[in-house]
Amino acid sequence: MTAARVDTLIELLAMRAGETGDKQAFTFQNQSTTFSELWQRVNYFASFLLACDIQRGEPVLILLPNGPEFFPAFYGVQCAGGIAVPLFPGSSVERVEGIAQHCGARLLVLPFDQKGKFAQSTLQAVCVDEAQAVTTPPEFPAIQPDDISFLQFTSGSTGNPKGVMLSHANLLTNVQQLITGMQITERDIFVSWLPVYHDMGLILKTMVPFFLAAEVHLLPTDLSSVRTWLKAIEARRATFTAAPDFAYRMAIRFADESIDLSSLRVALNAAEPVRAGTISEFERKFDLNHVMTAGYGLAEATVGVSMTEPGQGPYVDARGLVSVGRPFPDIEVKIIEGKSILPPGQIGEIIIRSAANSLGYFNNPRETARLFWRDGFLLSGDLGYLDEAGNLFIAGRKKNIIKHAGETVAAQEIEEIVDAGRGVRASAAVGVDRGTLEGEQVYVFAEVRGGDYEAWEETVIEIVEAIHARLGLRPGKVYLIRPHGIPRTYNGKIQYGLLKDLYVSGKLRDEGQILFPDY
Amino acid sequence: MILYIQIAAKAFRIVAVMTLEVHFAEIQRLVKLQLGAREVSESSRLIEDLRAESVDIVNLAVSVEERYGIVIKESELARIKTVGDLHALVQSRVE
Repeated sequence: MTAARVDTLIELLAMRAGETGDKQAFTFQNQSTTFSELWQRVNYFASFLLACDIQRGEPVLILLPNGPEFFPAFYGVQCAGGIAVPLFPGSSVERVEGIAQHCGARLLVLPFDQKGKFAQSTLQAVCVDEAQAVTTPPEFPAIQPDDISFLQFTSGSTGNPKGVMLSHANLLTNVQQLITGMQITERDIFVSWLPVYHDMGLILKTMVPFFLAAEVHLLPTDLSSVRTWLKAIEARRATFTAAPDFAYRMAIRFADESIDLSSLRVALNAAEPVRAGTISEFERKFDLNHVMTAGYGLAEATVGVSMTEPGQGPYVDARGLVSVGRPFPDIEVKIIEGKSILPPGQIGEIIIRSAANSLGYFNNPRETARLFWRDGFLLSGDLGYLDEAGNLFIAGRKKNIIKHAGETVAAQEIEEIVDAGRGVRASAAVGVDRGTLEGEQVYVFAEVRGGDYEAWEETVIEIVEAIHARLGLRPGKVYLIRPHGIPRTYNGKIQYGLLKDLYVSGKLRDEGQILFPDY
Repeated sequence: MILYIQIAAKAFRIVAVMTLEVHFAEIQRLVKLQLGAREVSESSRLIEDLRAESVDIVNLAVSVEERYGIVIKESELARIKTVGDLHALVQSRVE
């Protein structure tokens, strides 16, 4: 069975309902939905939206958590001719209203029990469950491959929202690039707790299996422990899972090594810098061999750009950077500095050309203009290099480089040292410039669990010692903070800008996040 | 009665300010935390013994300023050679 002939995601779902209707599309916490059930619910909701007078190309905000309701909402909007705008379900009313205003949305899809949350808002709240009552015979607009399927709002400042426009053609292109590049087949079994309202969880972990009619088991994102995730892999004999490095580090620390993960073919490590230590320790702990792959991607290129080959094992360079593999088919990656393309081995900004490249940010021509280099290449904002064989290595974010006494330090390098420390749960390093002579200094924020004043004092001394021993510099300040004190995106990426803002504005202290020191 | 309590509180505050003493152990602790050092005594020289670079000394001064709510001038900073010097400077500034 091939889905290669479909041109839109709506055609894909219609084809799946027609040809594999009785097959399970996905399970959520063991509750199964078939492709024909899914298609029926999509149609119900699309009809309901037409009755709400949805216009062609009208963005509709979706604030639904992982669960069976998300998909009828997400595809129902598109089937009715609108643009889906999935947002973090816990978003504040202000953020949601800001995005609604930015993209001109008037409709908002909410879980039934949360309809009251936006009672004061001018937005019209609707629920997927309301759709059943609508009996309008469906006559849906024809969806074209270049129509925008959904907007992926990237983390960033609330004042300047950036909604990446992804067309059906972008998505179907990247889905097939992922399938070929990751050697995915319809026999793969997916387990995922990643948010379905965000790119990796949505595209890799649901669109790809829908495309192939492969088995996918979804979990809530609010995993109370990594155990839930790993136990699901064991129970389902899953072959494919994906998570940021952070989640695998949690698994190394807190999960029981007796959990059987031997069914895994690929445990993709992406969305965050990949650490060599995470790969080796995870595989050692669960007795796996060359299962963890390192990947790279970004919303502006739909989601996936490259991954190491399954079964090949990690490829680490002399600096300790883990390769994220070669680009997927029909994706060109180059490294530039300013106007010129750099030769292999030299670090510069990563640029990408692919049919999966977004057209830009919705209603934001200024940021869209900044996104592109020339000849159809987009600027990733990430730093890296290509080796002679074409393997890509990520050296950090263009914007998260700390300049310490004229030397460039990647935050990632410091975080790896800090995370290895006793009692440290996770850490983030940012450059803080107090406006004095010595310039930008490394500030370390380390999340710790429990402990007392004496233990914290020892932890800080150890952190400073370790950084000094490895990098020959000492941080300007080390703060020990509460677990989850480091702000992250839904996919687990550290939000450095926000962390810095919270610290500099004094909010981090005022909100009681800083445990040590008390000045 | 209220007046009496106010006077007593005021007197107590004066006494508290007058006896404000910066314990060496506290300065020692700040130095340990800033430099990641374990063996810190009054005579430890910041540069020679504790391997501090100028930027570390500036950061140490910032920590001291934040802790005690004082301002250390660069000229004062340049005269600090040992942990004891730093202690003496802080002591003179909070008095």
